[in-house]
Amino acid sequence: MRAREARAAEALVDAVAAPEPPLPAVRDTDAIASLATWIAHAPQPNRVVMRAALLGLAAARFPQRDRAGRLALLRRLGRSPLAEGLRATAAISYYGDTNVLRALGHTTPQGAGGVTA
Amino acid sequence: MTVLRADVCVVGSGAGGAVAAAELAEGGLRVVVLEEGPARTRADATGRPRDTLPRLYRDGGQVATIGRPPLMLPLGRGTGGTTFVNSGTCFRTPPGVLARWRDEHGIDGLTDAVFDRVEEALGVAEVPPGLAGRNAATIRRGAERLGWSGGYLRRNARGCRGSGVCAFGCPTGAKQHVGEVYLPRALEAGARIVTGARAQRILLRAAGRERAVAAGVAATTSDGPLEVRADTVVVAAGAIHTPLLLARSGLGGGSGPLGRHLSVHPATAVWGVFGEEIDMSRGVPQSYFVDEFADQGFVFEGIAGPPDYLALAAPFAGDALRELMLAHRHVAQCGLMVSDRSRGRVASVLGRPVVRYDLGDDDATTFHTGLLRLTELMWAAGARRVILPVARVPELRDGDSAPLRDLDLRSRDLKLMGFHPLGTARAHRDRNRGVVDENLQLHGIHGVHVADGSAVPGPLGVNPQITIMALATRLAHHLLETEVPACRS
Repeated sequence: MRAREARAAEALVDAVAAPEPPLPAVRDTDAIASLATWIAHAPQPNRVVMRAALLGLAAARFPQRDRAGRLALLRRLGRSPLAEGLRATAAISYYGDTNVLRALGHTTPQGAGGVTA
Repeated sequence: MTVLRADVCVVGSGAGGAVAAAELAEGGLRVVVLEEGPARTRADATGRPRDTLPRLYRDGGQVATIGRPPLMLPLGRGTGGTTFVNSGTCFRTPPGVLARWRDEHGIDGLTDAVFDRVEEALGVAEVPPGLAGRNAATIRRGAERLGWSGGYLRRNARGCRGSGVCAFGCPTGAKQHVGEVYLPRALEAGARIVTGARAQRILLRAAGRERAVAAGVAATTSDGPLEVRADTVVVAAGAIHTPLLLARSGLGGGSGPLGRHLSVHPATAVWGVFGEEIDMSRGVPQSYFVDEFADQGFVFEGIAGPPDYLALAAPFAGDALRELMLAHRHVAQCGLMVSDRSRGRVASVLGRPVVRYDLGDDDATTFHTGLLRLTELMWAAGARRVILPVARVPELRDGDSAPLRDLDLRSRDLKLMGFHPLGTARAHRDRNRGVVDENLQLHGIHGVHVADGSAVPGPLGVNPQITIMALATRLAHHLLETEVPACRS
């Protein structure tokens, strides 16, 4: 992921996940690396659209807007598959981070791998 | 080019392919299985939905339909197919469906002996209430207060600890998916499984005037072309990819149904927020069902998972998502699955499958009814708030379902998934109405058979893995010219 895409991705994840203490800031998680993994595993057409969307958000000065402004822009995308794809990948990328899960009080059942207490 | 010789080449190692391969190999035939994806092991199942979903599902779990509304269509890829990542729910084909298949399609022979054999192999048993978790207990409480019919689901698991992540690969090996049960049996009986092998086309040879018979399968691998020469081919690449392989091979298209008649059991979920702690990450995610309205075309199945799964699925962003996530221990979830009347189709565009599926008005009405009933169940269970995956409907509070009830619901308002693609190479004794005949052999081509969800003639109203495995068992013993052996127990 290029720097512009990464900045847009961070702003996207921050808008969707809306972290506030006790939840860690997006930059203190591996959410952006996870989002990059999702894009990398997507079928090529989806990959192209997702990356174009991130570049489009960067061009629309998305990272420079406040959280409410970014959410408002996302809402304007409506309920399109692209909008839902951006929302869903951003949400799971942040809320699946180990430190976020711990902050939520989640531990994985014994033998299930994942986050331990 | 590498050439392998076998009696049977099986394309795909999921619910249909693995079962057919094991049964045929144990029957003494030389079997080669071609699997497009990688070999899956327990090590792939880390128990982390965020990390396993993009890796274990086809196309990173991002297969979607085109249509109104677009549906996500999660499919497994790799040994075990979708059984590696499904919820493990096991239903026999409903008797009414079997009767219809017998009368209208000519499909017979799915006897108790066949189902017994499959279920014994998979260790199918009802989920013990103590393992089901509080999400299931909450759904059960709501159903019982309303007097609705339901029960604990039967699943393929042995030694389950309720890790809560069946749909992301079982990290303990308890789930008895076909890669855990049937593929080892196939290997033990001498079958060969080639992973990373994409079947390109089915090979035929002439056998007399105007008659073609199976000759094998041409595939590509990372090591170059591979040809499996076999007089019998069993195609089990799933309802999305089987019709494309047949079409690439110039087969099955003459009668019209190839790639058509796609049903998906469209599904959605409803969330209830409760005062009590539920923690739906504990217990068997899919463990309780409500079939009170099965005759109206819908059922409820509790479905749960860890917090990151909730974040993925819940229709929220911003502060509302954060607040929901901070309250995740108090959230219960239940799925709504519709036995669809709508039909879609699969075609190939630039070598990739394109799935078209539009939800019809009848099914949208069924969803509306189902969502109202499921909301009623959540209120009866004690929910303080109910969250719906429906545009134009706010979060419901204080037992008030009016915003949903009064909605003129359109199909595009719904957020849906389809977990059970079926019917794209459906079986029918009439060659003009089916791609394969009642014995799952391609009409007009000796030796090419289909044994996956694509051969299933239509929606079942229940999860289809046992039906697919039963059809594959029946096909294998038809090819072996043997009776399906009686169960040991």
